[in-house]
Amino acid sequence: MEPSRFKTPVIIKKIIDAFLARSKLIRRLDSDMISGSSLVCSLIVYLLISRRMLIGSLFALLFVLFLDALDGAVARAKADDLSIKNWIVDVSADRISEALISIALSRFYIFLAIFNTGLTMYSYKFKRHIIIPLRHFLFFILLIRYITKSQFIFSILDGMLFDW
Amino acid sequence: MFGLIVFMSISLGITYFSDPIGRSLLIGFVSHYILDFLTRPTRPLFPIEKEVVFLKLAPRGMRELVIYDTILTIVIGVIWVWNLHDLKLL
Repeated sequence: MEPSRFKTPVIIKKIIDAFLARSKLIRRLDSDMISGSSLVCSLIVYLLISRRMLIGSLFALLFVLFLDALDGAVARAKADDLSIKNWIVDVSADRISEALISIALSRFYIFLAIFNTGLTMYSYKFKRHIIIPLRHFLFFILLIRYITKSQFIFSILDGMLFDW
Repeated sequence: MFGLIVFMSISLGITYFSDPIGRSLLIGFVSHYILDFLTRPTRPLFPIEKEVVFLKLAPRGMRELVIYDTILTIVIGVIWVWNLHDLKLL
């Protein structure tokens, strides 16, 4: 059985799953293949972030996060959510994706990616799902950077996260 | 992923002495894990879990696997070289 998660994300997932479970297309997809595809798409995120293409990287990262959400939904729609194999594929793809994206970012983000990989090992060992949603944070930071035109925010984020 | 933690930590340490060398090592290690994960059955949580997982993206025949592996390696290689050498094509 996969490690237990916090209650709020579980409730949100159940609502989304109830909606997605009705779709026949969802049940035809393979969750492991979707995880692999999100990993391949992370290469594009790396490329766009390192080229400082803000809008492009926002859309690419959103697509990666969508695939990440979809693989879990597909697994649950097929009722193999409790499979530990499925959980391992999901978290491994996520951690490798974070490691890949971190190459384009600062040392601080690389450190967080390493720490998150350690947390994954901890989560498995102690059956408690404790993982930092690093790519989600990155998405919101990129969005904030795009929306606000504040030089003050730029200088903080650039020094801490982007290494630009 | 235990290996990923070890080698990423080593690369991160090296970036404090030489950023280009540290990041090049990081690129090498992460590429290795991506290619392994996308092409072969792996044990991501080894040594704490020996469960083997396979993404079913790669073909199982030897000839097809070599072609798939080559294409994936070239794509990743082009992205790294493109980016590192700033070919100004984007």
